Amino acid sequence: MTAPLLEIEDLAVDATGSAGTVRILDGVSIGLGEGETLGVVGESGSGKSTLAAAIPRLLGPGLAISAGRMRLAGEDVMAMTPARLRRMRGAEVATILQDPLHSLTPWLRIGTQVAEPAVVHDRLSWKAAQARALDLLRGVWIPEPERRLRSYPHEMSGGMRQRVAGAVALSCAPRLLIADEPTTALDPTIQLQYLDLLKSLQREHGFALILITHDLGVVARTCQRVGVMYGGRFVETGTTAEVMERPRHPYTRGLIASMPRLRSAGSRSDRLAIIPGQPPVPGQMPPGCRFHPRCAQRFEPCDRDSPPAFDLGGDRRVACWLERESGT
Amino acid sequence: MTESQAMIGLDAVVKTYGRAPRIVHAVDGVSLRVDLGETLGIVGESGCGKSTLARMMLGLEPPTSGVMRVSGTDLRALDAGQRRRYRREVQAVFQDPYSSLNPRMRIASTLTEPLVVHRLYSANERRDRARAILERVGLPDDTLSRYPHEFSGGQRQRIAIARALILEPKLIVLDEPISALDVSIRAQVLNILADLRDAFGTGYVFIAHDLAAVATISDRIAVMYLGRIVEIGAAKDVAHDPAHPYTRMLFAAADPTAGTLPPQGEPPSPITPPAGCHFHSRCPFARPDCAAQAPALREVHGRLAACHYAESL
Repeated sequence: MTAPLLEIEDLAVDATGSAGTVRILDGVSIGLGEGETLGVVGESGSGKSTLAAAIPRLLGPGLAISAGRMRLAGEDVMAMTPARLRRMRGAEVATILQDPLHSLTPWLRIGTQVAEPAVVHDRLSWKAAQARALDLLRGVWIPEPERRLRSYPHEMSGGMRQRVAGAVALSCAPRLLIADEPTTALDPTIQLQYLDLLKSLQREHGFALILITHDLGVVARTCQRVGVMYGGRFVETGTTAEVMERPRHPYTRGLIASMPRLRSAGSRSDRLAIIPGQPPVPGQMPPGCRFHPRCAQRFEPCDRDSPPAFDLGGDRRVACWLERESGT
Repeated sequence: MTESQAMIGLDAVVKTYGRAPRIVHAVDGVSLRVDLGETLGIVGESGCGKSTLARMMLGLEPPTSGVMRVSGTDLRALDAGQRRRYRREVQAVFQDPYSSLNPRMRIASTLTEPLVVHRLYSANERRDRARAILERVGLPDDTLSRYPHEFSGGQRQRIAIARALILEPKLIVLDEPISALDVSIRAQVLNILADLRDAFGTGYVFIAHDLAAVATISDRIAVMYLGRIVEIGAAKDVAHDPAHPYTRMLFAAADPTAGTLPPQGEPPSPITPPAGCHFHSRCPFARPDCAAQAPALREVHGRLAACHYAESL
């Protein structure tokens, strides 16, 4: 691994509401080197989007980090002052969300929105910032960028808007880009184009990328490393090739086995391998390993004790009691 | 197979919305048939007309022109009794299991309502049938006395499938039935659909943007682009060895291991589709005459494809 850009240790996030306090993220640890790409995979309620919001400390109302440490290039994120946080969010850690209609302002021209971060963070004049915006739009493969500077978000297609969101995110040359389901709302051919764009931008600008998705196929195409989340925790982390080809956690194995495949086309009698039951809901987490009610391989400790992440070497960590012998 | 076995037949069906000069050809001359008991998958990007096609098959939208036949009879010529039978024989499951179930009705009423509407069975028999169908989709008995909000998305979609099944239809039109579900739940629902088809001989029209899911469940696949079918044939042929450049692009995007045909451009506006072959503006193999003349669907390697140069690609 290269020099750690981001280190997260034992992070916990709590949601407080009328029903009391519910732990959304629990004991999350992950590291990321400069220029690395990490895929975070999980189903609804797994905590993946909460993690995406917790890193730049942009958690919504009622959510708070209750334990753990986070360091960005060695600096304690938890100790940052409000002014330092503002600078960190725009200029060092940038975010792309699923639906760019929510992250772009509907009544501002594209040019203004792409130029604004440079004015705020890099103290550029609006004129200089507009020139940079034009370059950025060109960089995210927007056709006729001069004309598009004057467009409004509603005048563009979903794929085009998501590229604009990418241009806004990149305007201050962040060291870390967090993309939360950036391609989920896009058509398949446009998804592929967008992932190609992200990869090519990363080669050009060298930022580290955390890609949050429910789609293992997206991770397989894009990420060197992957973390699989379940019930607010990482259950398995490792290099994408290792995890996809030799998944070790029963949840990861089940998830990969249950994916429909093009090569099984037209065979009526075939059935997919399934994981029974459904993902747990925050606030109603089962005791012990959170996957145990759905796990075919559960045994004596699973419903009682939560398994730690066993280190299997070679960057692979698996939180499953089956690894007690093989790991440390 | 003979014409009489076609559950639904479309002949040059067109559906337009709006008025000149802003007319959208949502469906632009589609001819196809859905045979009894078969599963036809329909794929394509947003705006390709697949959902409009589904709504026409369900009788929710009349075609602007062209003929739609149900069991061989022109839809417009059905008498009241035949129309009622058609409404019973063709059922629907939609994408969002949160909005397709009435939140104020207990599941028992939701499931038995179609039987009440069609005046089938006694109250007791209706309840027995509801219980039996729930078991088929893998839900416990006590589901009947509950409300939709007590269920997860996957469970609700099972209830929606049970509701569609209770009339013992010949065909269920499923429009994006799994795209709102969690990944681990999608496989469960696909397996249930496959089991039900084996048990009841029900046919499906299965619309989804998850190509691997469509390929897994379908006997045949139709690929749509801007209102037209560009390729239709056996699922194996279309998924493994696509003939149309658009099908190739679509399936390459779905499978990381497939030979890639990098997608170019975005789908053009359906209000002003490109002349000739609608796909020529994004096609890496396009030649000058592709912009001049629209290719007809014709047989290419055992399936139908609408491309002038399908053989030479």
